[in-house]
Amino acid sequence: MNSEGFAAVTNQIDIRKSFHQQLDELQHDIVRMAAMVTEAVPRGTAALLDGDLHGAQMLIEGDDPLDALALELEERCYQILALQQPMASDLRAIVTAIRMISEIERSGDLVVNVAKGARRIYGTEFTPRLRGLIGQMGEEATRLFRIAVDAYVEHDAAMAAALDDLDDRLDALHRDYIQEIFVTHGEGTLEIRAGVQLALIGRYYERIGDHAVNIGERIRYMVTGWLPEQTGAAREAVRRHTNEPASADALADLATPSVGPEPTTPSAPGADGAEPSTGLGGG
Amino acid sequence: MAGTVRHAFSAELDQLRLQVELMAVRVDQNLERMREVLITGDHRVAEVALAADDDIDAMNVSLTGRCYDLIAREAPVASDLRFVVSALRVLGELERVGDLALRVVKLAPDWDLLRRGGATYEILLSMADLAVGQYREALEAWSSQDLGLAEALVLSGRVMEPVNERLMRELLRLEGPAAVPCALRTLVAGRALDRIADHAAVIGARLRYLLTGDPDHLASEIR
Repeated sequence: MNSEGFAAVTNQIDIRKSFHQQLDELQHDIVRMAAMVTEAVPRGTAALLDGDLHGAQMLIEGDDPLDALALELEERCYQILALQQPMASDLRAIVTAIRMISEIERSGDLVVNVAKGARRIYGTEFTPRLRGLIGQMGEEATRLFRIAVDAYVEHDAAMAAALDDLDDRLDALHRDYIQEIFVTHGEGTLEIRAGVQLALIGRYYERIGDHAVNIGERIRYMVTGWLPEQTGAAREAVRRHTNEPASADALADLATPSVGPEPTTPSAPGADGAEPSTGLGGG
Repeated sequence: MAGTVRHAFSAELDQLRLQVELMAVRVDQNLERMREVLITGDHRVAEVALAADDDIDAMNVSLTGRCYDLIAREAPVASDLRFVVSALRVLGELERVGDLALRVVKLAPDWDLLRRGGATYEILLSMADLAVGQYREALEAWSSQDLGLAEALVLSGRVMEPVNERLMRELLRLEGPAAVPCALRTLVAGRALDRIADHAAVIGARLRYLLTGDPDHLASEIR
């Protein structure tokens, strides 16, 4: 190899090295951003449970740096795409980064929503059971987010795939929580305005869990190239091949109850077009 | 020669825009089926929607692959790069809208229970109308690449908020042994419809950023 050829190869290596440095820095900053959210979730729960207006305010203001970081990181992803033209797994890493940034950022927004909810119901007394459930939902949401970040750092597709099942626990807690709001409201110890806000707050925790699951899916894609949509795409390919109108999976899905336990005694008319009010009566 | 190459690339981008629009139309058809399932509880429509979602997933996988291929092969810069990345993001949003529609569709076996909510069921129907309306505006904004429509979508932002609060208020008024199961299923449907409208607004914001290139608009999408 002549000296010019050698210089060109060295240059190529430098560019690749610089690319991987950029990628490492990007991943490092994404982890930093996710850590900001992971740390904010328990603070949001504390502000809610302690009626801490100052803590809530700090969280709301703390969202601006997170937004700024999200913006900077996404722009950086575009620059890397434009300048480095990454291929295969490197390209997947950048695309995953772009998707993760928005998932993390939206999770940050949800923590802000918890803080705003805490301000709206300032002065509300919680029953011990409601307090317990809020605390547990906060812990679960934090745990899911932490596992998602660990899976990203470790490039662990199995850990990322487990998030979907782990989220079931948060969903179950959310169901108990809604039930408890009903019970407390029915006993007359929770006014309707606070009940509505608490129901909304519960949803914010549940959505943080959903974002962690989404992050898990993106990590699986980054590590293995698998997209969740590919399951459906494969079914579609089989269907086209066999020319079947609908899959057995679809019917099985329909037969599976989507949420919670079956109703016990709905004292209502049948599904034959009768008015749908009996048994639940509006108040 | 360079001009011809550019022209071919530009035609590819245009083709990509149309393919994304086609996928958006398929999602729209499933939203209509979702609305029908919510109104009638018809299992057959639900089955058609489930099968159609697999088709949507297949389109998503194929188009996502094409976007990566374009990035790798053509190394687009500036507005072209913004377009391909935006197409990727819009594909992701469309796929999520499709999934959310399925969440409602999968409630078909619980339709009778949903209906017993009375006022809450009525609110769900109006939420479905709102969500589908927002989505259609997003679809129109994308197909016409219209900045005005995109901005209107961003500004309409939290259109679901008051309806959502009304739903929660009515849910807490439910009574009787089936109140909690009904409330939980209604919440699943309500949350999905709320998020469909959210995704429509995100598509609007993404389109606004695509058309203006202003990073401040990117910030408003993220927000």
